[in-house]
Amino acid sequence: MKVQVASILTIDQAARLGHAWYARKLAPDWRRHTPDEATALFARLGLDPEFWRVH
Amino acid sequence: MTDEEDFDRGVRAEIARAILERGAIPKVGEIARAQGRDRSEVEEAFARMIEGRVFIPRQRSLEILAYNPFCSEPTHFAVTAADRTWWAICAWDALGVPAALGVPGTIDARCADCTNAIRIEVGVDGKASAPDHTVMQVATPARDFWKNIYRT
Repeated sequence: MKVQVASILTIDQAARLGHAWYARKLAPDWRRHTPDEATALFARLGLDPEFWRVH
Repeated sequence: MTDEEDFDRGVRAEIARAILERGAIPKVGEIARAQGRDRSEVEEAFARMIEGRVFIPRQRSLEILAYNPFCSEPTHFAVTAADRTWWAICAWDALGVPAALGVPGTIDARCADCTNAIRIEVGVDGKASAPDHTVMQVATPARDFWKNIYRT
């Protein structure tokens, strides 16, 4: 079985991840991303679904 | 919304205000004074937020190490934005600092492999420009991020 030991993101993927993850952190109605929201974001960015599986 | 949720929301708002207005992550005592509440009430709110993974505490403390993406102490990831220098605990967070502030920013870091300096410009829309072949490596699978957040 192939085990992925790290995930390599392009700078575009990384920047989009940082922006999407934190853009609302200081907003009064901020809340944590739900697991489903996180999974959907990682999928939109084209990240490996097994490495980026949150639950 | 319960009373606790309402109180915690007020504490988060106070943290956000301190970051935006002073560029500083506040301590329990500062929030208690600013909100006219007992220190113990803010400590309880901090404990709930730690349990809810709202921020990373200093080890063996309730005080904030990182109200992600903002770190309370210098790191290897410096971000210049909104006329201040900010610190982040990792590349992911560094890329999120301009987004959280709603401004463009400049990240200065070093390659973890060759130690060469890396400068990344981030636009207010989140688009970044960086030296050719710049990548971000994440070594911990997402499901394990919080098993030991100090290593992740």
